[in-house]
Amino acid sequence: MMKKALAVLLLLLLMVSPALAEMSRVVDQADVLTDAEEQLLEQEIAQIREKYKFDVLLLTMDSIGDRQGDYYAADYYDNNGYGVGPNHDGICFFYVPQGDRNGNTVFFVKTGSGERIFTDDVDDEIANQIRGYMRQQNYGGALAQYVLAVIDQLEESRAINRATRLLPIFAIAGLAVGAAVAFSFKSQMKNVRRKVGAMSYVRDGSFHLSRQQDIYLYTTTTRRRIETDSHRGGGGGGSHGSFTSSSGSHHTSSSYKM
Amino acid sequence: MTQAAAHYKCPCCGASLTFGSQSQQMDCASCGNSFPLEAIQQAAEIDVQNTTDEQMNWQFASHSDFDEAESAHLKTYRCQNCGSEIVADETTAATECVYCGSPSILPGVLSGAYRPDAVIPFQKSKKEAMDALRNHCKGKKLLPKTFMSDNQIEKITGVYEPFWLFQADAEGDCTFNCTRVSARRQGQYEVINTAHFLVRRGGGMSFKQVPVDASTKMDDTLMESIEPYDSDKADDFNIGYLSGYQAQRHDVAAADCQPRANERVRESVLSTLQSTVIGYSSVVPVNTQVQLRHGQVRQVLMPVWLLNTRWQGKTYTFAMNGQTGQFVGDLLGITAAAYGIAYLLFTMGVL
Ligand SMILES: [Zn+2]
Ligand SMILES: [Zn+2]
Repeated sequence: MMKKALAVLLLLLLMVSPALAEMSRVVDQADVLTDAEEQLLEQEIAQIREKYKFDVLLLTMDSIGDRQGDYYAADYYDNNGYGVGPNHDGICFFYVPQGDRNGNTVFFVKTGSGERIFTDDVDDEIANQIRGYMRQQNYGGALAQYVLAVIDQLEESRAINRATRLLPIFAIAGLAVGAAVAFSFKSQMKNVRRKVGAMSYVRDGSFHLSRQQDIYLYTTTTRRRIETDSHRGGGGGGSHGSFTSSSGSHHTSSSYKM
Repeated sequence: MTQAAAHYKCPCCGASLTFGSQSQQMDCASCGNSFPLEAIQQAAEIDVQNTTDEQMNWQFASHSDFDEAESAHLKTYRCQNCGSEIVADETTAATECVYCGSPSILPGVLSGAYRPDAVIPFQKSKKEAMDALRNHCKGKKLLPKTFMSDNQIEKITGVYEPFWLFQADAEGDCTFNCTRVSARRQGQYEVINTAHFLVRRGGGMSFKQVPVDASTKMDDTLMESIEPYDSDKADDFNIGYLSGYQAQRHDVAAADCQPRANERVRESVLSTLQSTVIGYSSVVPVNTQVQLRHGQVRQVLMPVWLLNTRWQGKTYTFAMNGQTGQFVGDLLGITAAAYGIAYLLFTMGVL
């Protein structure tokens, strides 16, 4: 198992092929990541999508008002067309740093095959793995570890022998720290990058907007029962839910106060 | 009673819409939505306009050669190993190929060489380039001490790299599918309204110049990494600038660099127009069209401090923008094992 974990780690670290220009998988509106971290995470996720046909969205938001975090994340995932295949297989990591209702809470929202692969127990384990980083506000480390854990779980769900879940707890801890360190070394070692766009060559003040049309088309409405908050929070334990998003697709979620 | 209007499709589900004389709106029997007639007409008009073809054409400057007086002061060298061709003035001797490190470079004849239109002069000295390289290697835990000696650092060379500069005014026309989500509490329920919009933005901007590397001997990604260059500081070409430096001869035609220039212009136009679409919960681009006016292409030499070094059978390239001092070079991939070792050491609590 140790060997397999190492193999997966090395594989992860040696992946340097550039991702195709497409929709971002790291949407860091709360700005908790550095640009370098974002780019590396994008690359890892591109590989996951290719190898496992599974999508990973890392989403942070400054504030979502009074909305419930997992519903918000599910809507974001659906409305922007994330997910692989007809069932939109994937998982969304959602985090809001501050706020009354969702502040400092991590949500895992799962869609399609993600609902089967990431069980409540698996989510609990992953939440424990990243909690240390989150508490130190080392968000780059937390998300690197999260992506590693996702790969580990996808790899495992592929394997026929489910008995490999007996990975000793110290190995997980070592893997976590080792991966984060190697991850930061990797970003130290690599700085040759393709440019996106040509904004630095735009003549100052030359931009003009000649047409602006916002056409309202229609509105859809959904009603959902609000989950009681009574068993949320409480000493870092998670809460689990299952719901339908406003676009009508099914999701499951776990949430953890960090 | 309804009136047929089969040429309008429902923006929600794609079924045909009919005009409801009661509702005075376009109704969809399939999904039950109703739309203002004006919105449907505007949406249909955008659909039609979106089918027009994109125009991203450039005008290539006419080619000129070095004149006889200039040629008399210039020499060319050709690397027998990698095939790179450089031009240098008579006082500058090339002893080693700056692209592959091979010492087998032979003098050749300067014929049919493209005379560059402009040049951006070096502003960073060799000493500054050497210091930047030393700094770059400093504090990297995984980098072996023997990777870079002072002897090797000495070899960093000033090279004028040929680029095609694409200059144009770009006009874009983009459409986006957008939603605005609002939620309110109603007792034990959360009621969520998702409003759908079709948003269109048209606008443009001028690109002073988008550089594309015109040499196959130089890695394009490496060259983009040391951008930007300030091409306002470019001077008309004069062979005096070559003194002490080597100039790479271009081997990629401007027309072959055009797709990359188009891609970058298009990306910037789209992202700028998209940045004006605000106040929505989601914004998904569905159509982008870019047209160019006054598209012109010139060849310009850009100053680069360059070092290729071999370590354990692999080549590592370091480059510094000779104008701005921007320095890059990947150290990654030195040994795959190094990562494994770092990991193991960390696991054991050594590192
Ligand atoms: Zn419809
Ligand atoms: Zn050579």
